[in-house]
Amino acid sequence: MTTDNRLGDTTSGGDFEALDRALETYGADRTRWPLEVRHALSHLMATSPEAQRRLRQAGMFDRLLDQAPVASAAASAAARAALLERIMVAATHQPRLVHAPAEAPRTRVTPAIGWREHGFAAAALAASLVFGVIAGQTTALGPVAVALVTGVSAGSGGAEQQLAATDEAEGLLDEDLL
Amino acid sequence: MAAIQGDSIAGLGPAPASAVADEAGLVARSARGETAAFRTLTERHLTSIVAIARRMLRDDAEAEDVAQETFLRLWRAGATLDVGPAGVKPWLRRVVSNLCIDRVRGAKRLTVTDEVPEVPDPPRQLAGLESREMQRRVDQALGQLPERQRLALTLFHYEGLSQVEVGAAMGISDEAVESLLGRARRQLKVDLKAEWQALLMDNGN
Repeated sequence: MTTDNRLGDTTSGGDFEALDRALETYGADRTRWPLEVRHALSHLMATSPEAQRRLRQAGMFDRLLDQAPVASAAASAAARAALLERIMVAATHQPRLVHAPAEAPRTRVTPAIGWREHGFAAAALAASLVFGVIAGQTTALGPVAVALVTGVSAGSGGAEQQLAATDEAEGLLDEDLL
Repeated sequence: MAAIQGDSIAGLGPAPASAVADEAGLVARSARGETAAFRTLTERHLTSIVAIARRMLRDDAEAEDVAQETFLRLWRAGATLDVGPAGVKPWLRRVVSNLCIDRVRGAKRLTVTDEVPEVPDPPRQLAGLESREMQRRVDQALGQLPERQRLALTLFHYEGLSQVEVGAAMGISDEAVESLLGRARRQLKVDLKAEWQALLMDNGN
């Protein structure tokens, strides 16, 4: 036997020891042995009557283990059916993690982008409204305001010009009001 | 979803190319909440899972409780369960193994026993009684094994799992499985020496 204690690592001097270990570990059914163990012991099994005897004894022990009681087939079938139903009933009352399928991509824009666009539109609308009001007031009252301002600033020295400007401004105001 | 849940097993769709694909499909459908798929999985694996639990716990009611909990964990796991190439069976074995070991350890902590080890009875003449007595002795010897040795032997000898599968179910290496199996059988040979010798003599060995 080598220093490695794995079952597959055997030398000719340790074959029986390896056989005993294989039988102790895996039992007498050689199809259950690991492949390397089977290969390592195949020659011994084929040629040694002592190995065959040990194999038969291990087979007897396997038969002994098989004596362990099992439930009768009829009772098992009935109990199995009842248990299956019990599990199904219990499952329907169990909380669980459900896999949610991925949703199809939506065509509408996300709320963040929409609000941003709406914000621009509202701001533009408000700005145009304010601009329009101011522009309108400026157009309607501008000449009057100009005339008044001019009149005040000219003082008493330009009466004809003031009257002329006032008349012109009133005419424009009338037109605007119409 | 109600319509899907009402699907019969026959309505699960065309037969898949392989059992593995079928298993993965059933697990996926069960994860989506299809009770028919979950029922199919449960029907498929219930017997072997109950058998493992029975061997380990040696009590039908407890074994059924553990089996039920195992399958409910499968149901609850839903989409989080990653099914390998061998299907869901290794996962179920691992769960039932852990649950059984927990139960055995819990029972050991809670149960105060005043049992005295029994002396083997002399050989009986009636074959039926002898057989029943043999079963009782083997069952008793198995029950006295440490839980991990018993589990390894149950999975390997009684359930026919390979060494690799036992390791996967128990979460241990091949070498550890080898060690557990060897210790279990050596202990059983000591505990069942009289029965084994009788069997050898009966068969001319």
